[in-house]
Amino acid sequence: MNFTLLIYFFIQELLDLGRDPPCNCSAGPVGDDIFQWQATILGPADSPYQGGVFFLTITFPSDYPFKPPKVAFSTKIYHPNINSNGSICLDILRSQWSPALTISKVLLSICSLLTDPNPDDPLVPEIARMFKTNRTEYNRLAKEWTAKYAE
Amino acid sequence: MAMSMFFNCLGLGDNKKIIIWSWCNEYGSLTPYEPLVSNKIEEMFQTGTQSMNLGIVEPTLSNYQLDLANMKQIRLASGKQRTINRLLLFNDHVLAKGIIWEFQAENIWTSYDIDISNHLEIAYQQNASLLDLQHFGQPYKIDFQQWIQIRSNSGTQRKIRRRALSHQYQTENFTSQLSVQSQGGIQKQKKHVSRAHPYNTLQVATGSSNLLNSLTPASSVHKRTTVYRQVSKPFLTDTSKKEAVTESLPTVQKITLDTLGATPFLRSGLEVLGRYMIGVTQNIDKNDCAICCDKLNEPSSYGDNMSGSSDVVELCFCKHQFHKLCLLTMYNSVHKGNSLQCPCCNTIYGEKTGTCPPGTMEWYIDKDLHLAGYEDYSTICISYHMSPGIQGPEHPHPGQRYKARGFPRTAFLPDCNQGRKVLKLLIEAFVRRLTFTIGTSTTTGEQNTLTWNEIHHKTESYGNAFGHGYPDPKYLDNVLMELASHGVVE
Repeated sequence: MNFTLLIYFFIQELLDLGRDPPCNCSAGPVGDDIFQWQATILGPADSPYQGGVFFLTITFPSDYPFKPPKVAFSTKIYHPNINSNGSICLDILRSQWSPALTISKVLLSICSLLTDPNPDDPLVPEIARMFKTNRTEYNRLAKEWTAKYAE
Repeated sequence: MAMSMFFNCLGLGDNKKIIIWSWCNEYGSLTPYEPLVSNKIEEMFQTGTQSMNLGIVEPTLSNYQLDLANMKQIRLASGKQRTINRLLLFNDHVLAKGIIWEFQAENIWTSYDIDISNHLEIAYQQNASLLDLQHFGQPYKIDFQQWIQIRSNSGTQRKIRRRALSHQYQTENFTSQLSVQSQGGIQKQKKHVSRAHPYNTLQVATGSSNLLNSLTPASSVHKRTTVYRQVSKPFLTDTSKKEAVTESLPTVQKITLDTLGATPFLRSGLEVLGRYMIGVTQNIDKNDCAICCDKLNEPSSYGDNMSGSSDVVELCFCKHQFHKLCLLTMYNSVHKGNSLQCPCCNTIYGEKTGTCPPGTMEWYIDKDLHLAGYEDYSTICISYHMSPGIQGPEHPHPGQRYKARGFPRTAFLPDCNQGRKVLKLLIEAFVRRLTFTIGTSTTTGEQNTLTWNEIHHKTESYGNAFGHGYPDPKYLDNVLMELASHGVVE
């Protein structure tokens, strides 16, 4: 893989983020390693994560954009599709990745996963069960975790 | 008296459920507490107690503290936490009859999982001599003649026993059921009164999560969860109305992918692309190339100004335009497999194949297993056998080992028309090496390991402890969509 080309891609990504910033998200490189980025997502207004600031790490593979970036939450979050390691269960980060996707679109998908969890394909069964059987309690716990870890 | 007759008419008399408190181990097995312990927990739960020590009922359990607010059992010596559950079981469950099934491990008799117990009892009542627990996701066989449990892969034997409980589990408070019934819609109940099935009444509102919530007594404890389990009884949803099964079953029951099949003949990138792309010289899009983000009317960044770097092509069906070099770089960067997927709209050109390493897929029909939501149907049981090995050139780290955890993995489908259709397509997906892939497990974070490849399987035949079981009325439609996104269609 051509290193100059990768830098060029990262600049394109940054321009994309700057030109068309997804609401409540931001991302950029941290430190000297241009393959390591940090992103933030503000909890969507129509979700129990509202008011929280969630940090994510993004690691680009050397064959980006043909292979997906690795994206994980570094802030703890109470969500059926995000586990305690911060791993996210999202198809576009795995087999449904396409080189036409950008970090901006990925962050947008994660935002909508926060608003609309997918309890039928859970990564954390207990939280999925709570989401399905006791929405009030789910909302309460999600808010509690947001206040505890993300504010 | 008149009251009880009225309820008996509605079938309510038969519907009294028992309340069982249980703890969940790391494999998702639900172990019931003994009746006296369970009943005490229920009492504390009903009075809104947040925390209790099990030693108050059973001195030998004084090392265990329950956190009822968070539904956890905490081992005081180690701090190890287990989830606890409050279950409502029908009165025909083995535990409601005052019987418990146990196995002996290191001289200690341990209770079987609540569902497994019930299967053991049913098999025992039918005078079965052998029961294979593999259908229920457990690698054991039960020999009822010798009263032993045999681990299928190692042959390890343990004694088992069927024991009468010294006390009964508490029955659900009748009045709380009454309030459920009155909220639940009397009109619907009336519709079912004429039906002889004693279990219909409670199921009138099934399928809605409201029922789950409303089953928790409407006292101060409404915030806490109660897991409502239905054992061996119909779960009346639309899908359970039995249709005539006309879809044929696949003729093969076992497919093995060997190493030869694992390396298909690969054509060159240009040869594959040549089939699906058309050169564009006029009407070039003013947009950017979706791969390199450069303008289509300017050279591709991949070209390094070499000749041909300005060539633009469009894909023949979806008409999306790209730099020819960008498409070629894409094809050569990902798993090749002689097919191509449009980065913009995911249209698949050619037959998409995956990188699943060698292994075997088998399936059979279990007539005695009925999935929640599909009680009238038999069940298709699929098992995948995969072994660890060395990664090939198509894998993320060629030459390195990959792990295969949790195999054989078993999955379940209802044996209805749509279920059979899904089975055929799952076989097709396996042949195309799309079922598993080698990568990082989302669940454990482990690298270089076999993982499911976004074609979801229901791996729980009973209950839904891990959220990968039934009922899930949308599952068959969803998996058909996932298969279609890999190009696996009829």
